[in-house]
Amino acid sequence: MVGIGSFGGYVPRYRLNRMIIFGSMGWLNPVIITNARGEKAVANFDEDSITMAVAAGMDCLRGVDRQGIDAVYFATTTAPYRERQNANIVAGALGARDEIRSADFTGSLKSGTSALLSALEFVGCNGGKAVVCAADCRLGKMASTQEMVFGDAGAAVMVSDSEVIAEYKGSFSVSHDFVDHLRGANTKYDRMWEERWIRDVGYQQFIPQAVQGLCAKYGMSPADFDRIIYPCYYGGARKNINKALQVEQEKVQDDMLATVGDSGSAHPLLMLAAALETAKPGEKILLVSYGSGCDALWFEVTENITKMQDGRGVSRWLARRADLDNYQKYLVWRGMAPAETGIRGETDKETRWSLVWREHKAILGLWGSKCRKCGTQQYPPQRICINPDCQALDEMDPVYLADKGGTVFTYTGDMLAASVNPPAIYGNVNFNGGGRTLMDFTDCTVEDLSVGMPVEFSFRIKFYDPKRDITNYFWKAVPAVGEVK
Amino acid sequence: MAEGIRDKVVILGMGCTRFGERWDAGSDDLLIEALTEALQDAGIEKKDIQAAWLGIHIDEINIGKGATYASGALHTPFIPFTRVDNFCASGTEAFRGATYAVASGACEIALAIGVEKLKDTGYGGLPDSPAFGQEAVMIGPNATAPGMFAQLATAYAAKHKIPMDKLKEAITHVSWKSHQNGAKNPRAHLRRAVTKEQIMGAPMVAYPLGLFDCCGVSDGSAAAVVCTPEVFKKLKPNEPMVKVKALQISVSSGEEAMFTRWDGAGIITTQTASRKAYQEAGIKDPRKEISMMEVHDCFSITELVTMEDLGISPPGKAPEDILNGFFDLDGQIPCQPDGGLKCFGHPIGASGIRMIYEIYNQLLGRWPEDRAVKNPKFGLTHNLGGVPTQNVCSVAIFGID
Amino acid sequence: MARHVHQPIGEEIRSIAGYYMVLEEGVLKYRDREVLYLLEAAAADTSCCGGAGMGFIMVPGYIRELRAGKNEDGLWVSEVDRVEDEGDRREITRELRARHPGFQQIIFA
Repeated sequence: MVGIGSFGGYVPRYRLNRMIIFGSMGWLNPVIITNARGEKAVANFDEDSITMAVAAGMDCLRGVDRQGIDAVYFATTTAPYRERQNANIVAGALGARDEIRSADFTGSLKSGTSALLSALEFVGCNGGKAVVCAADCRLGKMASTQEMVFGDAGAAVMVSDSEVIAEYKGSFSVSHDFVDHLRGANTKYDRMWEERWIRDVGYQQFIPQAVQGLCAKYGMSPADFDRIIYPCYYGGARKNINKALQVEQEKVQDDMLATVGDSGSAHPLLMLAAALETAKPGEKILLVSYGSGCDALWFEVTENITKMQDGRGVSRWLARRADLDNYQKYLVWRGMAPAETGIRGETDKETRWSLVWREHKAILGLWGSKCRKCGTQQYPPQRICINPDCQALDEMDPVYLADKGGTVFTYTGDMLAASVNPPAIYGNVNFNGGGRTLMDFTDCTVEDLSVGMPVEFSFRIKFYDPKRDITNYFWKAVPAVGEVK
Repeated sequence: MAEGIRDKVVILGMGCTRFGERWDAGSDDLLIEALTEALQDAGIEKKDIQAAWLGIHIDEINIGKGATYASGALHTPFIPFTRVDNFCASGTEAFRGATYAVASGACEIALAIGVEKLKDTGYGGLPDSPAFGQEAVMIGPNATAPGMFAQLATAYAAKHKIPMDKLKEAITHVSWKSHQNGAKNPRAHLRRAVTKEQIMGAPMVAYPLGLFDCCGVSDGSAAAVVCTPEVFKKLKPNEPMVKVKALQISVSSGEEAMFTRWDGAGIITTQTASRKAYQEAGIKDPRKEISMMEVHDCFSITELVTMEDLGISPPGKAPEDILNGFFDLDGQIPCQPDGGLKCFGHPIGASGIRMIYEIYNQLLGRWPEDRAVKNPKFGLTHNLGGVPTQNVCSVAIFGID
Repeated sequence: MARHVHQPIGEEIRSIAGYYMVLEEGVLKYRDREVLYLLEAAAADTSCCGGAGMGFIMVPGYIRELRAGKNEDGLWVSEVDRVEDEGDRREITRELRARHPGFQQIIFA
């Protein structure tokens, strides 16, 4: 049986109330008030689509042996690299083997479900496990509708050939060169055509077309489904679609517009993760994406679902929130306004790719080493054991530390270090199971920290090289969100 | 154990520039200034120097690699001239090169000179450099020294169960004392006494360190000419002799950074280097025998833990000693009689030799009454380079006959 | 009771790593008491490492007697009670942040 083996979500900690955007930019384009309800999730200054995809993937892969993963697919429309497989960065962070299939899915907001379909077909043909991680971090110009509506988030689904929590029953796709939103190859901000056309011709026609196509293919009716998931940030259009499909409002999954915003290619999967948090065995789920067409997928929840309803998903991330009470901070974090970083900030940092390749396990996956002689765990990986009483040479086994967590040994908040979010918070962390390293902290203030406090590790942007357009990643410590039950 | 270098090398002469923002001077000017004074004091000429060592840490913005800049600027006559770098202990490393050369018998007169020209960066502080290698650039935090040393304070307070208020009071006294001493010193970078209220009123730069808990950067140079006791007796008969009693270096093993045994509340290398130095110098009870110290007070908390790491204050008792005035200029063991890094300044490559310069002049009784240490016998210098988890420590002891 | 020495407004108090100065003094009504606070500016422009500037608010405490006398340096001294209670500190911090946005640190003496 092929289907979903696990799921995960990720919503960044910072939320920007849309009234703050209106308060800052409404003078220029007052009509944005029509979208000024609720808040949107905003990626921290050190987050992007890759880091959020990894965070969702880590959530999804709790308790899953990373050596058993056979494919990693990454879906986004905001990949940092056009050449350099983004999915390999995600796979490396998730601790997957090198001998896997990997691919980036992009170009439309339905790329998340396209990746999921490919994963389902991969496992259908080859067996094993395939992980789909989707995330988006789309930008609208200041005072635009997109700025109001878009939110940042990630979602992940593991497809498996055994112990599935939701069986894959079938799919139907439609593809249109329907240009409602677009970004050219060299464009940073989203551009959209008239909203009434997008709503009436886009969402209201294509989603029913995909649903009806699937129903016709499998002899189903929309009313046969217990949960219907589709993205559409036009409230009026949602009502019309529900009416056209003749489905009851309560069967339609909340679109999280008021709490997250439209997270692009991740959004259907984010809504799916939220649905699976509370889904019951036997439920039929219809998942539909939207963007340059639609994919519709049919799943049936199995008895295994209860094993995965352990805190993974979306709600705990939604609960872990902090106000971003400053619009200018949002602009600087997202690189929308040039900010002075001083002469020191102009220091050139070259990325040495041959070194990065040699150390890629340690950098991407936070792999350390564990001494076969004395059992001491250590990071970065050592050839000579760090235990002064051991010092064995070349007796090491690799050990994946990214999912181990640790505790705070020492910490500080540094006003002097260059940072777009001062003070820079960093300190020494003791890994659970042994070993210590100095690392950055993120998603917290100095006041949140104390010696001995449990931390988790989060894959983040380490630094960006603007001269060569290179984003480098590494792990940071964040206060533990709360152990999964 | 090897016998060490005790009494095998003496200081023939020393020089030290005024430290500060020397917009007027390049590295060459600073080197010439320090060497000229040292040669005058030694009573020799440049041609008498048989080998030289240059201590400098930041090469990126001034003199480049090797020692050819220095030999070219000073026009030394085709003698061996070697550049050494070991973070903030670079000056003492240069001094070690010179003393070891003399102690070994390889030469009779050698020069150690340190320089740092930091005010050509365009911004405050040290230039960014991949100090711990390229892999660290990819994985290490964008940390600063204040942030790294601040963590000593949180760990120290936790280990000894000392409230942060109390610890802040003690490190405030450390800074206050150095300002008092530095104010009297015409060559100090900052000559200004401050009140404790002013120190306490400063904001935090890296919790729990405030603005007055941190040192700065300065331009400057210092030089030492060392020789055998025989040469000294020939050149300066009947003059008191400042002898090198011990010189020890200890470098982190990686244990502090990666193994979980270190408590984070002190510096292992200082403990190691000082124990070896006391043994080399024949000192049994440093608290009773050492007369004065110049330690690496890059941060006031560093000076506090150093008092314990050197074995002067018992564990957990440094705050008490400090607040009792034990290390004040009129206390039992004056510490930083010249103002220390905190006021004299910190041109990295020169700092170790600057400390020796102070100890040397104090031992010879050359300073005016208001900043003289009374009847000194043994003086100790201490450098700490790098960060608490990854560092280089030097401890040197000098005595007068 | 504690003493607060008033540093002259606008005068740089310099250390080797940088300087700070009092920009203005203010009084916040809190419950039935008056809290003395100082708006201050700092620059760590010559620290050994890194560089920074910041605005900070120092809170000496509740006013007992403002400018009760002068000290040996001729500076005004006020008598204050320190704000010790964590709840009061949080509330005063909140009010000061609202009144003076942008200041990086609020420090209770």
